[in-house]
Amino acid sequence: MSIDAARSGSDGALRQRLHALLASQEQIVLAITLLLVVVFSVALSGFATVDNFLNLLRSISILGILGLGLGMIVISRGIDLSEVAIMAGSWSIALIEMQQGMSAPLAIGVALVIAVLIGCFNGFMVAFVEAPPLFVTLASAFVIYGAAFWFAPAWVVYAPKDSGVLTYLGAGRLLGVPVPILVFLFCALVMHFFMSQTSIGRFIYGQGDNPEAARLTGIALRPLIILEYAIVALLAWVAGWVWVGTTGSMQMAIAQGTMIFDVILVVVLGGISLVGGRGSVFSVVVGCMLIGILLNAFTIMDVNSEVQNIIKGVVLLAAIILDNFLHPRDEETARQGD
Amino acid sequence: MSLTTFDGFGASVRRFSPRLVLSELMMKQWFEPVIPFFVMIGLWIGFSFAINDYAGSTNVLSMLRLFAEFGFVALAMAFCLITGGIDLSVGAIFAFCNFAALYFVLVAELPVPLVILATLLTGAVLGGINGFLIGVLKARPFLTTLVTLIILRATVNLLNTHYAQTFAINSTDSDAWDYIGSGTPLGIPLNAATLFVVLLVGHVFLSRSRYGWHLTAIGASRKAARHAGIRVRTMLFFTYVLSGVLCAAGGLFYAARQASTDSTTGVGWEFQALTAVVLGGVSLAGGKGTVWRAMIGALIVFTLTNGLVRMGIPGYVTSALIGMLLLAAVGIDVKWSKNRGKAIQKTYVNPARVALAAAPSVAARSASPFAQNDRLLHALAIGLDQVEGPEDVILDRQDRVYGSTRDGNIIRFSGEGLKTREVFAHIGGRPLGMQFDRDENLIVAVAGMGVYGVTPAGQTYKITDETNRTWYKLNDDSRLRMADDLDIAPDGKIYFSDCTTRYEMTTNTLDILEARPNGRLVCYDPATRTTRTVINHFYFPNGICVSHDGRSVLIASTSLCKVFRHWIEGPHKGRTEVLIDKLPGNPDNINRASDGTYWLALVGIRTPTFDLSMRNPGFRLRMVKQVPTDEWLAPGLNHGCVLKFNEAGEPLESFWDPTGISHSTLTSMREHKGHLYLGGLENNRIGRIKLDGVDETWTGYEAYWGSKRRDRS
Amino acid sequence: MARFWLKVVVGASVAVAATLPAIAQEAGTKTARELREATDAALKGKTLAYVPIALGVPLADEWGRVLKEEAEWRGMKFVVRDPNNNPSAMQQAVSALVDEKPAVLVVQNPSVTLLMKDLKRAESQGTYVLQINMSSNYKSSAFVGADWREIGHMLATEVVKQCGTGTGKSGKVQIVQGELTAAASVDQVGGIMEVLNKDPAIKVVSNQAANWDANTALNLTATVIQQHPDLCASIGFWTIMHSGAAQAIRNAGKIDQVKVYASGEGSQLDCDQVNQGNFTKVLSYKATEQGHTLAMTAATLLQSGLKPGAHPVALFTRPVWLDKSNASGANCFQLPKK
Repeated sequence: MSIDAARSGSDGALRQRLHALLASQEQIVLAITLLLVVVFSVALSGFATVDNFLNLLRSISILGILGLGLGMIVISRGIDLSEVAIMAGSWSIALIEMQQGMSAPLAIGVALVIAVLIGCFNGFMVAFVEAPPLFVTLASAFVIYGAAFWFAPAWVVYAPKDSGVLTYLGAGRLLGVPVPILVFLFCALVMHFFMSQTSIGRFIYGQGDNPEAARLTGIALRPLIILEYAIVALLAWVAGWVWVGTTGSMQMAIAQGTMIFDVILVVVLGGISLVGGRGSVFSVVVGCMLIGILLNAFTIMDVNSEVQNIIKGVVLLAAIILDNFLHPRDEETARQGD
Repeated sequence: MSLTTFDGFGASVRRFSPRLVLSELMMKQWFEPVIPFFVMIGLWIGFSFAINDYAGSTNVLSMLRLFAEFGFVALAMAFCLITGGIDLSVGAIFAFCNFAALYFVLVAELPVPLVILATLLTGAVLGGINGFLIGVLKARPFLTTLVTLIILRATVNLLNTHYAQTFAINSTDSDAWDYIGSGTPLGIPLNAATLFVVLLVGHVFLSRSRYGWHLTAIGASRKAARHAGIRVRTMLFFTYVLSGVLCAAGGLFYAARQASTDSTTGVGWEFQALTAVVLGGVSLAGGKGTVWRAMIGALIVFTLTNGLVRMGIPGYVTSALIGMLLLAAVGIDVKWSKNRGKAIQKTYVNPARVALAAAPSVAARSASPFAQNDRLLHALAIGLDQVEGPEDVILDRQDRVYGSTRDGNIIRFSGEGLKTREVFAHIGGRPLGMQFDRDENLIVAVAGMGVYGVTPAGQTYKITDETNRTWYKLNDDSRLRMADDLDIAPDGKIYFSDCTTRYEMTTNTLDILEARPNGRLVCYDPATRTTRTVINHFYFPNGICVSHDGRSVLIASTSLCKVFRHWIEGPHKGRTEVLIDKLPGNPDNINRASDGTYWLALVGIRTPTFDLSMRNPGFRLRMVKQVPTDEWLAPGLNHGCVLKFNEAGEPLESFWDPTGISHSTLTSMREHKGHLYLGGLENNRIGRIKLDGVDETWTGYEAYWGSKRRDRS
Repeated sequence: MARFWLKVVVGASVAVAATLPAIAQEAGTKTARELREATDAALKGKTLAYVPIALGVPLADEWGRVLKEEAEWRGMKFVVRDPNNNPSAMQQAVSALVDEKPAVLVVQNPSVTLLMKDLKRAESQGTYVLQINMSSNYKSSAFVGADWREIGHMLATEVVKQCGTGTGKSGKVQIVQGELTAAASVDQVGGIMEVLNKDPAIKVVSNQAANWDANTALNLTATVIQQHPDLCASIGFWTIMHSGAAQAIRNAGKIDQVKVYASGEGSQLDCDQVNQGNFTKVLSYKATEQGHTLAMTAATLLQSGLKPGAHPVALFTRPVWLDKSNASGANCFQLPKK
């Protein structure tokens, strides 16, 4: 304790001033993001244009939509590693069915049903079997990959050309704005409203904060958990819809890839703590923005992807260290496994 | 039901109950990961049917060689999880150290011992970065190691590309280096042998060393660990350094074996390792896990992927199968560990049939020596409301009264009218039976602790707390669970009862309900300072009294309602026989009386219903399982009497308090200078009555060590 | 006595005369019979093992299909292992296969070093090792596959033809690599740059890795096209990945203006993409023919009696440009159907 006290004496003033400015991790990330925007706008020609910003936002919208789902489930003290697999699996099957003559609306419905069923299954395993979510969803990602490949034995499935409904969400533009951005914005607003204004949303925070207390206050925890995983799957479905529209295809391989790491990264980066109950939709948005800006700037600068990763990692580490500097862990109130 | 009960092994075989074995098995710590263990064995057996030569030694050894490096990484992950953290960078550190080892060998051309040292050091430094961020800066482990994973992976990829040509051209022909990669000491691949040694050391470290306990404590509750003075930051720092070093060991062996470094090295190992150790039973929440569990999990994951791929099954089927197996395994495991406690509870109590002889009548005004009377009604109360449950009372040569109480104290009353109360000694546990030895030390049987002594000055010392373990029992019975009463033979040997080896002080009613020979008579020999079990498998032995002649020990069996005599000297030495066959109640302590007879306390009076239930083990089993504790039909240990019997076991007279107000649960009585002092397990006083027509100079101490001894005649 | 012998001779002659034509017809020519016998002796009952990086990918599936058909037609036993993109599982599978001592082992290396030691061990104990498309640092009995430098040369030559000096175009070129560190990527980039650097008019504006993922390729390309609207050509290292880039260019409305090239295995999917106008041209290394070459090489080696690894040979397969004129029929192999 004496060491802490001594340290806070030496740099206390600076810390206090910064602290007043940056109250939470998402504000730190936001500050870093804004700083980067300024730096890149000055240093990079072609960065600070409306078109580039729209492009930047479009490029992170799928990540963002997935992040909204994962963020919510992390707030509830869960995790869903199968989100990307749900997206890939449900849409691969739907696209294969479309190639065999299913109409677009029906195929979209099929993808929705598959996704939500998987979500409910995950929820069931977590709520009723009480298996650790990390584990359940890791395992179900394997199962989804295998099962989807069995139904749709193709590495990549292309969307049929003439499917306006299908591709509008990904490729369309509304008033000059790419639709994926609007979809992301819409999802973010809905999730924000859901998480902050509805009682179920507050229950999710309550559950994440202290599941036992939440249960004792009369929240029906098990149905709630199933609902949460179903919502994650729903958002995975939306993200998949955008994905199919943008790329015109679905690749099963992404289910096995590292994309889920990126999703986790944007979620935890923005201040959604893995111990649950902390952070908000805004956290996901700023986390996405930071990653998106870095990626965009790197692409403009044509930086080697490995060097990109190193720089990205260092920036993230800086954010972590700054956060720890401003919000030192209080050993008395800190929660286990943070 | 008499002598044959006491021939130990034979009795327990006859009394064998699979449920009992199962319940004791489930109590075992090492039984916890039983599901993963059988999954592992099952997989192995399954694959040895499905794949040719799978079980052959060539294949087993080659698989061990392939497995070992992943084993190191899984172990690294396990240590981090046990401290309540996580290390997602294990795969990247592994890859980095693999590169580093090759660099040291092929580019720097260091001698092999230096290569080993430098590689491990690299791992320590990389782990140290994580440790610094997590331990010292208190950053969040998941996010931090996720980020170091990204950075390290990218760095090692860049280094690989840069050195790819050099590595392809350079080669080494160091025998020592080849030995690391393909050596087989004692026929076992070197990497697997090293892993095994590391596991052994890791096991001892984690379960037997101070720092291992610190790690587990931090994982279980960081706050509590900090409050207990554990240096949380330092310990966490070194945990991640350890994790780095373990990964480096894996990387070193991989480099020597495979000589390969590329972007695929160790990819995805962080999640494989995480899956493995959690599957093996290391808790994600921290504070729970052993190195063996981590290894069981790692072997499952390894065997599964390896076996399915080798069977030539399409990748997507493998993926689905692995997923489903993991789901099933984790589902069963969760349900198992959650319900293990309940299962133990449901199976732990295993009632046996005991057919008691009909109880003698205790009706008032009958001619029976057991007839109820009111001779204790007007007993003088000593220390009223100043003692809590004096289970045993005893008096010293200065006529001071001692009582062993619930709060772990020996309370002493002295002075005028025995009104001065003092805490003579605080022992802890639940002090029960007492006796003075020749040197006037007070020897006390303490439930939950063993046998302790208190010097006349009030100094406490341990005499014994363990006896020899029964080799064929799952339950470790070397500790004394519930030392109940004791007495000292003329040669100084302390005979004491350990009334149950399956229950505790608080649950000893269950032992009576179970009615199995779980107790034992134990003897401590001060000459050799050894403790040996004299009679194993005894039905709830309680009161112990060395007979007046010092040649036998009287043992009261509370659940059988009998008193036994065990010969310790003379022609019958070693034999146990029934002394009193039929008692109207459950006997407790036995003590000597001044006229060469004995005092016996009956803690409760038998009821026909309970006697009936003793003949119906099924009924008691259902009761214990289905009825709340407070509604059980339990032995009525709430009202009893003091009984006097002679050397032949014939009951002579009894003393009752029919109201049950002042002396309800009678557990002890001592005769001292014409008075009888009364103690009770739940009573709020020590009682005293005047005895008529007895030797008023007789005291317990004199009867054992002084002028009133009868054993020399 | 003489009559007896006469009878015998006549009888025998008649018998022989009667059977001769039949024998001649059944036995065929001696050479043919001997060749067949020798071939069967060398091949029949031998095991051909095949380990790709992952099945389910069009390339590996096609190789597997051809190998299986050919091997079984030759009376060989065909075994396949599917490590499903898991390098350690692959190494284990190869290691176990080597222990089983197959006659021929066909592997697709994920890197130049991973399987090196196992392949060396296999050859030292008498198994012929065939490496497809990428050789490890150990040169085994045979290498079959594309010459990635040549592929790079051909892609770049085409780009120079379309965008180089004298075409009046901007000369801006984008390269989307697979994995930065994969040898195939390194060699292709090397080949491309060798050619492009010779033409001063050509400018490589972006050289990024998309890790075989269409969505990453799409995001990269979207930024590049937005920064460089006058992009002339886009080169990708795998058709399935590069379809994302093509989609980004299409979304930007520049699909007719930017030339899109990619190398690929030449499946029906590639041909569809060409015919839909997403790719200007695809450089196909023809997985089907590679499969046949593998089978031939295996048969040749088994009959050669050579010691495995004694005379390493490289059999490069001929890459073919596919455009709208020829992207059909035999030039495109069909994918396994559901």
